[in-house]
Amino acid sequence: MAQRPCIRCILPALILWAAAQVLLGGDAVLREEGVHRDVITLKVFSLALPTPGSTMTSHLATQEIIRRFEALHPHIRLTTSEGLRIEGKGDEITPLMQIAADISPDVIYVNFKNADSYTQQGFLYPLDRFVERLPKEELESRVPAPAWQVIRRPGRDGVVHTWALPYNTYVVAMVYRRDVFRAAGLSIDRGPRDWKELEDICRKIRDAQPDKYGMGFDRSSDESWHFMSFLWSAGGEAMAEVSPNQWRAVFDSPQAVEAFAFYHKLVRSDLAYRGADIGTLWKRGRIAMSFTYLNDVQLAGVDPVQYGIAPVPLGPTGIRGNEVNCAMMGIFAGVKDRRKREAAWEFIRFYDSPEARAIRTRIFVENGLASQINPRFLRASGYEEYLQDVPREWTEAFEEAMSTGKPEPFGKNSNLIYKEMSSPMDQMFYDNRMEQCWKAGDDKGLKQRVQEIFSEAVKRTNERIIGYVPPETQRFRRQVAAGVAAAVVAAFFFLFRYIWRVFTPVTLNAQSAGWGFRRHWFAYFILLPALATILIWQYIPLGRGSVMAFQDYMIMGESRWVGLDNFALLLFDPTFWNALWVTLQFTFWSLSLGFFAPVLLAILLQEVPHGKILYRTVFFLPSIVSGLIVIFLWRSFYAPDGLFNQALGWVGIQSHLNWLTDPRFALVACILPGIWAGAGPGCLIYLAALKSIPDDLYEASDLDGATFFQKIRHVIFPGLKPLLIINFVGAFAGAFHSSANILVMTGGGPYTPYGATEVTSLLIYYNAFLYLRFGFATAMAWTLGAMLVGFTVIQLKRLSRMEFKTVEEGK
Amino acid sequence: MPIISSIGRKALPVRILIWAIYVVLTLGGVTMVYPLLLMVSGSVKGGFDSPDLDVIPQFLTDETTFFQRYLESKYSANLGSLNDAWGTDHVDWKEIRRPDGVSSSQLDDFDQFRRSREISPRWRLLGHIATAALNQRVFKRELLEESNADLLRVGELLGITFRSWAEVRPKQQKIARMMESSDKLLERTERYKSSRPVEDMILIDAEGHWKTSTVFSRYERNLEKYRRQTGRSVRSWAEVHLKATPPDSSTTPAERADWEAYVRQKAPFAFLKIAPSAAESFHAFLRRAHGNDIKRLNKSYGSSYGAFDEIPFSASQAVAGAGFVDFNRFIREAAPLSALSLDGPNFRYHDFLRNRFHGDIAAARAAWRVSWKDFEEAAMPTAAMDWRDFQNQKSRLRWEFLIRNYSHVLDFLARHGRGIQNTLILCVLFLVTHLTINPLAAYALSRFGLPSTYKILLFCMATVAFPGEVMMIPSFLQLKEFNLLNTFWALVLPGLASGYSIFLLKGFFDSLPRELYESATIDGAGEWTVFWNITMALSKPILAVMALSSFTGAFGTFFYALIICPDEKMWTLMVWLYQLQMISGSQSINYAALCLSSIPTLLVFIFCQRIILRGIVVPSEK
Repeated sequence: MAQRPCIRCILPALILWAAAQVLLGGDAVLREEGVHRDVITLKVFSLALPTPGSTMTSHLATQEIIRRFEALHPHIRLTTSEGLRIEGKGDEITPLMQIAADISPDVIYVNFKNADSYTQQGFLYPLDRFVERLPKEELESRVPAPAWQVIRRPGRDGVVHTWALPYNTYVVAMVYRRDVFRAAGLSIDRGPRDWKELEDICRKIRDAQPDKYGMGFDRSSDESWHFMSFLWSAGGEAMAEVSPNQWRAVFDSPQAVEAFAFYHKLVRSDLAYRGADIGTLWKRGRIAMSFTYLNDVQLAGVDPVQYGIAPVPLGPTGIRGNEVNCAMMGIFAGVKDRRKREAAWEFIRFYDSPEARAIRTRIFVENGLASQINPRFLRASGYEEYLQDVPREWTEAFEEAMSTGKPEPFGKNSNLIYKEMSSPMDQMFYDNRMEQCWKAGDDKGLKQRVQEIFSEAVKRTNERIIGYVPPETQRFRRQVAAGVAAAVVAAFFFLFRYIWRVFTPVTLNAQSAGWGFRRHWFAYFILLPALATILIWQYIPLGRGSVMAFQDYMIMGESRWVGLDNFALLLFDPTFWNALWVTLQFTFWSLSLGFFAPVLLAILLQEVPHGKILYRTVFFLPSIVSGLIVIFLWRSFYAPDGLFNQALGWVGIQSHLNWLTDPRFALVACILPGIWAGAGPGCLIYLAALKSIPDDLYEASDLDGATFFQKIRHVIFPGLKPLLIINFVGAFAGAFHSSANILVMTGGGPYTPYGATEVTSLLIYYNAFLYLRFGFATAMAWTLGAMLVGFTVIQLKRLSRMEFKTVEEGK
Repeated sequence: MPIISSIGRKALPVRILIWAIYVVLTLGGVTMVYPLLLMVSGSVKGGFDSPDLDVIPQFLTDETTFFQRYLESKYSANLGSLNDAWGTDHVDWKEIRRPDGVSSSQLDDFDQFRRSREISPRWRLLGHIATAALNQRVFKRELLEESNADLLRVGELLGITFRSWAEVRPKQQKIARMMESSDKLLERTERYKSSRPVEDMILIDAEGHWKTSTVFSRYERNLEKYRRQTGRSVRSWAEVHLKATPPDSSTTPAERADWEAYVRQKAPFAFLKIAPSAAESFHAFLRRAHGNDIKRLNKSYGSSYGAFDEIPFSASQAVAGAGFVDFNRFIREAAPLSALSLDGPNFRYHDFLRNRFHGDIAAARAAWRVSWKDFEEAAMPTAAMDWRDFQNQKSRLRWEFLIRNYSHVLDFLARHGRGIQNTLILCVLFLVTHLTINPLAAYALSRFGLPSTYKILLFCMATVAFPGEVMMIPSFLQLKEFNLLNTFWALVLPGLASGYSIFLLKGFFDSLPRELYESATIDGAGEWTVFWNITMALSKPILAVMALSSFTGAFGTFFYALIICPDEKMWTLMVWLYQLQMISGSQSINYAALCLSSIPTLLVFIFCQRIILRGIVVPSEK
């Protein structure tokens, strides 16, 4: 009791203090804005400014460049708006949200993959006027030849412009762990020259240490990135421009088949590891070689003592297929102030200008890292004597790639191509005929099957990417969509009428009809804040968002009305139906495996005479452990040599299954971690409910001589029934919307050819934030929502009939 | 009440059942504790052992790992630096084993040598300066005190504009052929270095650097190849030695080439001695390179020399950039070989030993059981010395390794105190708004029997059917339109009311006895008094649960805080912890940050379990 007055005075004081902080804080921001008037504040994307605190040499060099830029342009003040980058989802979402809200940085980051969609969405301001001012030699030295086709292309209106300027060039090379090479008795100073040598090296590594792999491939929707190096080295292509601006997927060529046969061989002979956890395995030294991007920044990031760099191995015909990629900058189209555009251009121009390059080179040389600088820059700055310090392999890899390099796919919708190519690849690892051919050693049959699957996939991809549908089919689809829409609207109508009736009190009398604003003005007054909040922050965004479903939504500029086309597309998209089917499976498994886990736990906790609080706390722990660790842990459990397979080994079943990449188990494998983590917190409410069951019921059943299970059946179950029903409906809706863990565990795969774990919410996420098809994604979300409304109503109806009480302690 | 009644508990089958329940719960509990232990264990690791999954960090149980951990810390996670000092070619920390074969009296002598004035500060690097390591933390703390925790002041002191405290860290010259510039930060580090014990110093060996930079790559680390080309019958790389002066004609051309390649191209200026007599040929070289035109030289150097002879003949006085390049090129291409020689700790060590044994190699062989033919063959026992230092400091090191990441995280948070303040503000705002708006609405619905009650409830809850993705972009746009970005309101307003909470509260208020309200009204209490003194007072447990959940919500919110409040001033504790993870790039520091940030949630649960259980609202059939 002594504490009470204390709390009484601390709480209001805290509130006052918080309120003061909020008010004063806002004021401080305002004051600062007003200070600089002639200074142009230029917002640039955060990657362009080195992270405060970093001491990497590349960042030191950038800091020096920025300092020089600010000295040269005292009227430009650089800021960055993004603050932080969030890995995973946020990476794509943040820039898009900022563009949508028109608070985007003035200088934005563009890469090859998104160059076309950024152009088509109208995010970029044409740079032609500025680029013209650059001396020809400078321009040539800044833009690597393969990059021209990426940055100079038709915009929304079909007129060709230059949209972005590269500032950093990346090249794909092979990085290998010297310790693993040494342990296998290999030379630690060079990597494989060609495919044959690659296979030999992998075999030697496997033979020397059975727990190591030669290579590692990421089994995700980006798996085909690893495959690209093989595809190009075999002489194949993923996409080709068949006529100006008409792109087709072409990964069904004989070269692609050749490349995949080799890739397949590496994986199936266990020379290469294929899984979602290659990052961890690589760090733990269990994978010897991997593809990586090479540039001045990247090489500074790995320790040359521990890691070696080699060019991508030559293909069977002596071709090397290195990917060239550029990090690029563009001016945000929303910048209206001419002076600001000039400032933005000044920044872009200077960032990779000869002067900036000289600064960068100098800082590297002065820090004793001349060996990590692109030989081209060393020569340009007069540091020729350092050329011999640059590892021969690196120079080779770099120059090789600059001459024969291939830009990452960059055409229309090319951001889809990795995913589109990964699906058939995945499919082939689970294909029965492939399996038979592989076991029988039938190389010809195997390649034939690869050819078939690739051809099918290319057909599907082209249909989706080009989006061309014959007019009569389209007409038919629209009609179907209209029919379905009418049915949905009608269903909604009846549903709402039904709900309205359910929720209107049964004891209708004249007095309580209507709203009664006048009589109950006070009640409505105190209701107002809550209702206004829900209206403003839920209904209005929902309404505004829903409009997107009927548009070809553009983040910037005019969105086009497309009527029911998004729905028409949806209804005839097998991916959607697959996702829906997977969602149902997901819901089924989550509920059947997960729903009763907390109930069971609560009953067990109720039974133990001692240590209840300890157990309760222990089972609550997963919810405070970082999700990251939970994912790492479960991934390692599911690995071929992980806990699950070991446990099977104890009971005499030899298994080397990768549970997460097996279409039969992947979905359940994604669900288990959530159930495991949710049991503890979930059981609390059941514990409370168990306490509310009157003691005399137990005593009575004791007198009747009921057994343990009979008591569960006849005492506990009826007592928990209302709660169980409500929670069941809630869990159903939750599972329906959930994509928890799937993105990080499997990314939607394995694909056979449709994603075995690609639930609808994941598909919505991919479409909205990866492919920028917001309209389509919203249409999907609405369809999903419509299906759920029924369940929600049942839930509300049940809830409205319940009575709510807390449980008194001591019962 | 448990199902198993207390009467039958003594019976054997019932006992077995209870024990079975214990076993199941314990097994389950182990799987729950395991990841937490992994996280804690991961938070005290270093770089090379962080991918290992073990509940007890291996360095606590295994001496070799502990030693590797020590080395990783001392050589600041730079394996190359260890190789330079040891003359080895390790490619992984885990390869390193306990060094042996050095007698303790030799180490005693070596200890004396390394403390002597023979060792130039340029040959010593300060160890333990990687992120979170002791010397970085202490260095930073010293600067904090000197500047009264003012970052701008530190910037003035050191002549650098720092944008964050994370940038303030010791800096030293690298052991490489490079320009030796000097700045205030280097000087400050040097001063700090001189205050540290000799165990913290890395002694860079010219011989070791010669091997790692020149010999290994020339012979592809192949000893056989070395023997073939040099005709030396060495049994290991440890028997390959570097000479201070150009090898004479008694050696093979390959050996002479190894020496020359190193001295001309790789040897750092700290090890390189250039006879002053070579100045003449240097100036001749400059004349040739610049067409005997001093103006041309001045233009490219940005200098104002009157004549070529005025240009100083030393690496440290060379003009940065072009001047340094010229000087270096001279060493590489034109300096007479006879003018070049090497100096370094290993050569001084030979002299030291000569003194110690009065030039009698036999005495040294007898005293230390070594097989040196002459003192030139004596390599510094750096590895063995590291082992002894490690043995002497073991208990201190164990503690240091256990706390270092935590200490780093706490230092970081202390320097961004604004984050703690913001978290508090946010928690208070969340608490106050959640505990007024929802209960008020629920009270209105429960107390007055509005005819439209259920319509309103439906309105409050119907939106749950739609996936959040639909609303994501529009709500962000709305925040922007209302000018709420970068304010706390952007975090608070959208979640002000929760349909589900209103529903639960309304249900609970309904169950409160009506008679209380009636008697209060008869006593003349106003609506407000009734709401506050009856309804709210009777709902304490459930309100407590809501308060706890809004506390954990406010504490943990960070994804949205990030997008909505990009301004650093508004960042909460969690956002700063995220920032720390981004810049540290170290998994173990990340784990330490995660462990620290999960403490409040855990404490809340441990201490408020009973409150939570009492406040949970359970539905039952009417």
